[in-house]
Amino acid sequence: MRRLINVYFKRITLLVICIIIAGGYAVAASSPTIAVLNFTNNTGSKGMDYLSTALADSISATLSQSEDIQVVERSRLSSVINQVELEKSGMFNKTDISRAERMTNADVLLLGSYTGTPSNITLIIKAVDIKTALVLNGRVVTAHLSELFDRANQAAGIIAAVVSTKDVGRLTVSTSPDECDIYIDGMMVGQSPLIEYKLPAGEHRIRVVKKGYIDDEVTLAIRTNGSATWNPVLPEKQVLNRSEFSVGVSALIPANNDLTPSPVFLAAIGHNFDRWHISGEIGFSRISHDQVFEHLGSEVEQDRWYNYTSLNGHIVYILYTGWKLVTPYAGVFAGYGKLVDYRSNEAYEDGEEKLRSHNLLSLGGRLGANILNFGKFSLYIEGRYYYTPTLVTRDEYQSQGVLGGLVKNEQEYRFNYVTLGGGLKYYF
Amino acid sequence: MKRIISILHIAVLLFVVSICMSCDVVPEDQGPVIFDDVERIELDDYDGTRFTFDVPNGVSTVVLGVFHNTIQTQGQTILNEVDFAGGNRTGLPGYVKGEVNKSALYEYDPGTKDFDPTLSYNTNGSYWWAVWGYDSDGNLTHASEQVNDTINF
Repeated sequence: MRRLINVYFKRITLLVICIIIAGGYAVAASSPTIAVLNFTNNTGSKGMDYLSTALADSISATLSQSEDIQVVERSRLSSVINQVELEKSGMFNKTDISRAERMTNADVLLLGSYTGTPSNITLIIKAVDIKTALVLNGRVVTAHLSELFDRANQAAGIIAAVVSTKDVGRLTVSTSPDECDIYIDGMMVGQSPLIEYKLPAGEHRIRVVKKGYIDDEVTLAIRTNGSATWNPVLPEKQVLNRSEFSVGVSALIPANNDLTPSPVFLAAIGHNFDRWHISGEIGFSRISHDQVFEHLGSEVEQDRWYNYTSLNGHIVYILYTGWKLVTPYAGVFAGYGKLVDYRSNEAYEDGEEKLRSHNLLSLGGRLGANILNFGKFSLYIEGRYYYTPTLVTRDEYQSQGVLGGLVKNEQEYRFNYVTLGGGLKYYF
Repeated sequence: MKRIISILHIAVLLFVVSICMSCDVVPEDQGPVIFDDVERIELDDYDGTRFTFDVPNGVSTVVLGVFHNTIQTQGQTILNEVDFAGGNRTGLPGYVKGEVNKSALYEYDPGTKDFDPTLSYNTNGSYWWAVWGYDSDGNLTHASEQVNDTINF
């Protein structure tokens, strides 16, 4: 019995040891150890030597915050650096690598070089498998000195994420227009186009940014050994300092029921000053206001119309610029309008009699949106309200039977109206 | 010198004659039209039975009016409505374009300012009559002079 117990005890102990060893191996396998070596200064400037250790220290400190990797303490690397002297050339060979492996017990070496000037430094970061001397992943970062550390840390973070797992996929991002800044999970990784960029499998938030264009963002699932592609088209922002010419047509809906809703044709030229837009506009409309009355036993319909020409100055504020398809705006305007009253009369050579002419001050407000922005063109829709402080006199004709000609009955009203319509804008 | 003066006389005479010929003068036997700012309608005749007149193009409604006294107007309005005895117009029974028989005259109704086709007018007397016309938009565009005739029914 005791012997049996001893046998079981030995087996259980062996099992526990195996589990511990396997668990440790698993932990070790999922958390590779990275040693960050000094970077090689290829700038030719002694004054930038400090970046060699400063960048490495910064990256090392950043990576040490990750739970997915273990970072070799930099103070333990001095002997390796001295003996291997990788940083002098940025080159390495299997002998150096295997020596580094023995001395650091690291799985991956992070090393690289930098060149350029403080205003434009290019940093190359490589992750080298310490067993095979193969480059597992690499990134090129170009930045001003003031941004170099942030960019380098971001790039090293992505490299570390890639090398810490075997579940890696690839991402390709090409944008229209080119040279958009690309952010992955909040870290800038470069400019478009981004080709076959290695990423750990899983969901990643991709964002593309370019000055003068509206940002775009997407969440993509990267599969192990899979490829994902994203080709966003960034619309231009409407807050650029640029000029525009627009033509449009709206339905003019008068407040006076005697006037018939009619089309009004508009053409405007203006300029954007960031979110403010100033423009001048000319408009024309033929507004029918036919009159029907009884005359000598029959119903007479007189063709009557206004020819309305307007000149207005507009000030518009762009309310919101963050939407891709719609850019809403609101504004006010004031200007001059000439309203000429005509009626058909066969006694006149051209068959039309000019009755009255009014010079009007018009004031109003407008609310609209630019939509479907495509390149230098966009459509717009908008509504307006026009108010005219001056009263307009309209002659209403009445029959006096067989006692003679028609008599006029003067009526006064305000030429207020609403317009609803849209058109096309061209930017230049 | 005399010859020059004679030539000048002849020239002046020719000038005056040409001016007179070019003037749109109203013939002596025609009176002025009864309304302002209208074109003339030519009256043909009243032969004791029918009133005849020309109807110009563009006139869609013609009115023949018969008055007890001379027709008084201001602008395009008849002032002496009380003298309006009767008449006929386009659209009423008995009206033929350019012609109205005296038997087709109707009484004037001040309420409707139109003729009443249910009441024939047949009182003998001396009357002033004229014709005027409207276009399709109701505008008064044409009128005649007024003439005096005795009408016996």
